[in-house]
Amino acid sequence: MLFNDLRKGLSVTLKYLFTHAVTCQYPTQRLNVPERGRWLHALNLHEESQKIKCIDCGLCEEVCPSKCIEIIPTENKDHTKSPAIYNIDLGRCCFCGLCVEVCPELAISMSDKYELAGYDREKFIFTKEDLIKVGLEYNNNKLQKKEGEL
Amino acid sequence: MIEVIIGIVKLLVLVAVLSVYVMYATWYERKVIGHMQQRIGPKRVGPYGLLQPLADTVKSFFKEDIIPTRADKPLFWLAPILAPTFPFAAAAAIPFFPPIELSNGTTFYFSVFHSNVDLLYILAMMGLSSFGVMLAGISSGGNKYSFIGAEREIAQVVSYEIILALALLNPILMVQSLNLTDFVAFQQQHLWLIFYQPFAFVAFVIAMVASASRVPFDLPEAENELVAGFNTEFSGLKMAMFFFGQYVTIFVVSALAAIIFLGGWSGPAILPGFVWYWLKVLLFIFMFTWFWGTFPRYRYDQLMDIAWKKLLPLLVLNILWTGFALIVHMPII
Repeated sequence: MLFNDLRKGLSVTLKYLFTHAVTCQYPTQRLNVPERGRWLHALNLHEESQKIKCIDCGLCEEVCPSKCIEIIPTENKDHTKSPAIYNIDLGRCCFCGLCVEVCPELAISMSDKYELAGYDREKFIFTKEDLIKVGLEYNNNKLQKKEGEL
Repeated sequence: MIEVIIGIVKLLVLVAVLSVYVMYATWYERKVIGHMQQRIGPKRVGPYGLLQPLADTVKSFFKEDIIPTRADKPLFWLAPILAPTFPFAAAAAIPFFPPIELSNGTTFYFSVFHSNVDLLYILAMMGLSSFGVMLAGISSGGNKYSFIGAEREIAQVVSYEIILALALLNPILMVQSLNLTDFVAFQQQHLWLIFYQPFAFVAFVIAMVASASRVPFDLPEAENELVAGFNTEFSGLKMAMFFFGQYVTIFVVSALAAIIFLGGWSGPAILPGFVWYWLKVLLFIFMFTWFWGTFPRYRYDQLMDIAWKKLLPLLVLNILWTGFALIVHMPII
């Protein structure tokens, strides 16, 4: 048959002209992030006492390859330690997830927040309060999702 | 005097209509190509991205106009002027609607310029339209991409021009006229000419894609080899002018193919004539987009091979056969 391969190509493009587009229309429509994805960090609280899980062992600070975690400890009344300042500089962070792996108390984990662009370098430094907020939000969403599934 | 005024009004309408057509042709092409690649295409500016062409036009006005220091300045200005001028001049002879008989016995033609040598005039203007591209390459101050682009355009012109004319010679022999209205009248009495001259039609389609420099014959512009080919150095409105030339050429050759091979405004009476005409023109314009979404590019030696070694001898044989058949009054099918 004349122009056989040309005809084949034309039929393929015509077929795809009438199929649905596969693009995700990002700001209005989002893809689900993988559960084990490494995005923004979150600091977790004890569920009963609402106290921070972190015991300021300094392992995350030590293991961080880009040295973006800064912890300044404080001593509690019952002679335990907890962080007075816990800063993560996302401008340096390489999202390797080693801090999460090394944490003995499961105090730090990673949330599903990935829109982290900003105009200002100062805004990339997330303080303890910011990270706790992220953790609360993330865990609440997760709980709601689970309840929805049940 | 009244004729002059009518002519000027027609000319203004032509330029306005074709400008809007060019703007929305870009929108339509991006949309269709997008869907062919399972994308959506422009959608942010206005509903369905319908205001995107306006935004692009406004943007092209504010683009910085850069002229290379080594450029030949007069030619650098002349090239973008010539590029759309000749396709527009060719479009002046293309009818937009079927002619209507007025009550005083004259016929009103919906083309700016109507004569008995329409076809010859259009072919002449199409032949000249490649000068804009050639000048663009030469004037770009020795930019190698522009220069190779222009060089390829010349190789392309010498290949397709003769095929374009010879493919039209068969219908001209059959109709024995160069007047576009006569072609439609002939096809209203007989079958459409595509049924008498299928080979000439195929050759014409190949030549018309080459004449509009579109995929698979977009050699002068070959983005992935030559950056942007002949218009590498042109920016803003100057580049938009080359776009104008190309899209108007697409319209002209589409209308020409619709009139000469597919019977123009002739068709079954279920639809009015001009609807048939525009359906056929839009079909050809869609064909260009479809090719763009499908085909890779031919090398220019392959184009010359197709044109000179394959189509030219076959078309000469076709003309001899048509002439023979006409002389012995043979029904050609």
